[in-house]
Amino acid sequence: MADKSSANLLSVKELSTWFEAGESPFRVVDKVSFDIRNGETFALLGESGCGKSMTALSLMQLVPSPAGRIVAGSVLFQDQDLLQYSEQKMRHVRGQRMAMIFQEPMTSLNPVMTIGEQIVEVLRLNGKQKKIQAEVIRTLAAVGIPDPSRRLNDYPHQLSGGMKQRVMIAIALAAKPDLLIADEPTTALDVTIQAQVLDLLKDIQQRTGMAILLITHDLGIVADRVDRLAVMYAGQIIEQATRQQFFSASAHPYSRKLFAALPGMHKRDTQLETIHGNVPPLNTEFKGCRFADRCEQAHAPCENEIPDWHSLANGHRVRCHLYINRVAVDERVFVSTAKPIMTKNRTAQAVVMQARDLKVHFPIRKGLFKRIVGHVYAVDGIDLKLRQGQTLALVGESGCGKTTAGKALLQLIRPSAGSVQLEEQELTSLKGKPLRRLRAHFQIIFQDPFSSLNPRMMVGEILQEGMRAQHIASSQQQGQAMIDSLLQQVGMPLDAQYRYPHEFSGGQRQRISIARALAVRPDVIVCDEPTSALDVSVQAQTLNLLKKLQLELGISYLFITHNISVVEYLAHEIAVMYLGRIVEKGPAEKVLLSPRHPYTEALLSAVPIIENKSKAFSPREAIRLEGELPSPIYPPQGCHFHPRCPQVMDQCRQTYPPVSILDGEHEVRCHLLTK
Amino acid sequence: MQAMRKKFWFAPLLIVFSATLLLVLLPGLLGVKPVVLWTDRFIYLLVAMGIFLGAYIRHKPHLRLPWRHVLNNRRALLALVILCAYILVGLLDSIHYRQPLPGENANNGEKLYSVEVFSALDGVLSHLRKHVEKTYSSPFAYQLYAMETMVASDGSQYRAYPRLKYAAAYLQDPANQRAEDILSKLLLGAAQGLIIIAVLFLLLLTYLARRQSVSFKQAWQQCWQAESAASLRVVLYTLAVLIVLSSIVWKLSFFYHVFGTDKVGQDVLYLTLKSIRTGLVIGTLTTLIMLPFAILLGIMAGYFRGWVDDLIQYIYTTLSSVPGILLIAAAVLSIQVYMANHPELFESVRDQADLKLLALCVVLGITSWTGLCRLLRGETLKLREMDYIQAATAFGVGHFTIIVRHLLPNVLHIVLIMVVLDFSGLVLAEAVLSYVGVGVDPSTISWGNMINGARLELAREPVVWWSLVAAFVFMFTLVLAANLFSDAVRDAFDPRLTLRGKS
Repeated sequence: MADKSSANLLSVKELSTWFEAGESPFRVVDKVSFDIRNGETFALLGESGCGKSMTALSLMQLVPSPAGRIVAGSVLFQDQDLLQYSEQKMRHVRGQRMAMIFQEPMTSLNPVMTIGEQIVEVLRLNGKQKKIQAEVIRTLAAVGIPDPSRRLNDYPHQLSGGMKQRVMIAIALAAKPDLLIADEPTTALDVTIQAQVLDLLKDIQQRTGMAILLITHDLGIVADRVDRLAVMYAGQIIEQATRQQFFSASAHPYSRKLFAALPGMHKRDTQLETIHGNVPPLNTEFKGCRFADRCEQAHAPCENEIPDWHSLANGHRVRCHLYINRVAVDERVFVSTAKPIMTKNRTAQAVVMQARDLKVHFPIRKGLFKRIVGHVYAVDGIDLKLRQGQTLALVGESGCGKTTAGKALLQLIRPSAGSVQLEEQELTSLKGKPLRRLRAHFQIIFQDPFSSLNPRMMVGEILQEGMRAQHIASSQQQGQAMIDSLLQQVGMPLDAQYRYPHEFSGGQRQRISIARALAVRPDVIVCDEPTSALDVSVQAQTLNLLKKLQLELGISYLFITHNISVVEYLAHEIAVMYLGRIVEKGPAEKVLLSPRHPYTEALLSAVPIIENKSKAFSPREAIRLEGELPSPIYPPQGCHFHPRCPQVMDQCRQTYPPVSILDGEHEVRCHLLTK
Repeated sequence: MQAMRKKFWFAPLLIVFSATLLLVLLPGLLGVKPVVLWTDRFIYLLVAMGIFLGAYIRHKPHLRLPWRHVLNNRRALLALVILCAYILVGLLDSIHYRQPLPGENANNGEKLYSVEVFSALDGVLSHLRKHVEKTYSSPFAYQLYAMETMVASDGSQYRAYPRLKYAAAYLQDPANQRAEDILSKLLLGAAQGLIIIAVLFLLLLTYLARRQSVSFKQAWQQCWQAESAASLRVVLYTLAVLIVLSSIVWKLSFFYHVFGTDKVGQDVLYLTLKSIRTGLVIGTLTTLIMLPFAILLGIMAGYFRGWVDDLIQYIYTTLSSVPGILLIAAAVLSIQVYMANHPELFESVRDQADLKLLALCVVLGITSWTGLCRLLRGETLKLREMDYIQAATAFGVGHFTIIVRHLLPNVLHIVLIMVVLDFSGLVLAEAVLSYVGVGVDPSTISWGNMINGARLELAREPVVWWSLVAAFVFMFTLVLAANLFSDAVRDAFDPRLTLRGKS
């Protein structure tokens, strides 16, 4: 057993996958080599478009053809070259010895088959006809699905996202593969569910001894549960290390930048480091280091000599010219570009917008006469105060009603009850023209940079829209001048206004969205997860921009997010939402450092921590939540959180807890504090 | 750049204006009285709209790109050339006038005009119009299809096939001379066609050489060898074949009935050419009438939801659950009765037939908007949830502006695809309806009426097949071309099928 665990299960050598398009092919995977040992977890880390998913598909020989093809290399799996296998032979490898789970559990399951049937499909290929039922139940139980004998006959839509991903894992594991390829398995899931799924994978790995190839962009996931990892950039692996080595001393300037770009509590008073420029197009023939023109440490050989591997320590290798003669590079080489920024005092600011007892209930209609048979209690009585020049973060899992709350605040969804006041003006009673005229004061930035800009309008027209609706520019010249200054403010070139949104990258589109919101000079901007669709380095640029604009223009943000590290970086105040209600609210430091509600505690502890350079790893004591967010149609009686709460008491099942005020501003709704 | 962006409508306006001027001035010069029928007005409107739409598409990159894909598709280009030929015939047939009566300058010097309304096409094809035989004759025949009792010079009666009045009348011994005669006329026609092509090609080369300021020889080489001129060559080949064919038919039509004659001796070639306009009018005017309903109601239903949506859905589900043909029959019949009872409303029989054609378009339009409306409603339902619509709402932009600026441009590709797809269906629908007897006026020349007329003769022995075949060939070519073209349009606008470059 001992010698088996150290042997290589998979050995990839010089694998290249190209996509033919026009004159020069896209080298999506460019001479990638790595090994995976028996029973270990190996991570491929990289930003979107760096070729990590395509590497995984190449291993399975599932590269979309005829556009893409594997042009060179070898994939030795249990000492046999898979690239020499015929398609028929390969089918016995896929799903049996090498299985894969995908990012999106919603689309990976067939909606018209029960989950039992879908697992049976895999088992039958294996030739086991007997005791299928028992086997399926056993498989489902193994991935922690409660009551598997009944769930067997459920259809995918009857399961939640986390459950679906568990079923996907069950399907992948049904044939007991030796290698599981997990392509961003938790990206579509909430933090608490993500923790459950990752724990499950680790647990199964310990039981069965299979190896996992984890593909992710999330440094947090890597920090927690990986043995070794490789960093990919522009189709190439640029650094390979064990987890310890990587987190204590990452070597490549790109890896360093990724750490520096992460937002967090301790960076509040500085700008985040960003990587300037873009990933080079993959259809160029690289003469030097492909990171050279974005690298601040670039020197002469970087431009015209492709860097070779340099070994730093046992198993730690890096492709960088900095390490030609040295084993380690002086820390001073990595200069920080992040500038400190001034933050203002919090309490002195006036309240710009506030919501009192805001409720949004969506009626559920049924039957011939569309009788109302119930309500979705999306937002169920929340109080919010936005202060001038400050950021209030609204945190919660998906489905807790935070986006609805944001839109209700802006009257994009009309609230069912409660009041929203902009300074002294009540908004909920306004309609038509008076409301439209006030809309200049509050704006919104959306999550998805691709659906938030009309693809049929030029950027200039998009920016003009708000000005025209609000009659802000009095003349053509003035409007033009405003567009120019807006583009400058968000750091876009002036000729961008004559181009269409599809010509820009995600980060640039998000800048355009921000410029569009700024065009009407708002006092309040609701930011609805503006960075969750962006890569870490682009996220840093966007966060820097938002912070800069807040300081310059004194705008208040309502920042809706599930990303705790962004909250730590940006927020002055935090409101934690659970199933339509706010369970904890207060100044950022208090909520983050001494959370009092069990849900907040669990939420914070589920976030993987990355402490760069800290050699002693001290993770927070993890509180793992059972189950998932209940349905907002039938919220649990008493405290909404009681079915999942680790400290539940009798009282919690009876009544909803009242507000307990701690230290003046820290409000918590929990029975633990009322005693 | 900005000046360019603003004035995309300038060039089309100029074109439309000069075309109107030409239409107004030309009849005066030729000494005829212009007549503008109701369908003509709509056709002119449609042409003007087409010109403006073309300019708009040129001006908007997101629309221009897919159209460039269409124009790079050889099959689509071939289909487009054929469609253009049909449209040319249809347009010629849509310029109507009344000829002055000869000599009569009666009462107070006012000119008198004939009651008959002719079109420009009638003018061009006057020999075909006038060559009316007694009854059926087969293609290229020199005698009638039916025997007649004739009186010989000695007074005795005998039964024989009488010679035709116009076709091959000059031949002494048609049975032996005809083949040779046809061949010589055919070669002559082909030669004429080739000369026309040569002249046209020389003009094109001169234009190209002038525009790109290269020598004549270089332009020639570019035209035949350059990769970029591949689509130009497709157009040239198709045009060449088309011109040679029509030149041959044109030449022969003076001496023979190329497609034979029908029951009352009218030339079938003339009838099929006249039918083109009817087919095009039905195919395009119906769309014109249907579009406002479909677009407005579809977008409104999807955007406003609630009771507006309920009402519009109720209307179109009701409408589409009534059997279409019944609805059309009822509407057409009631219009017929109304027209019969109010003859004073119409200047001429032609006018009446024309209005009936228009009425058919309206009825077809009213019954066929539901499909597009449903599609647009669905698409709008999807689009209204897009963040940019929400962003516009957050700016306080009004509903109407949102519909015009955000929704309409984003559903326009669906409208385009549906219009092109519907066209061929409507041309066929006309034929079916006329066959059933609820289509166009019997006096209107249409493929449907031709097929209806030929139907009865299919039973006789020997069979009269040519009017059916002629109508079928022309209709088939049009519908096939339209379908090929619409396929290309649909593919070009389908984001899943085209890998859009970063242009």
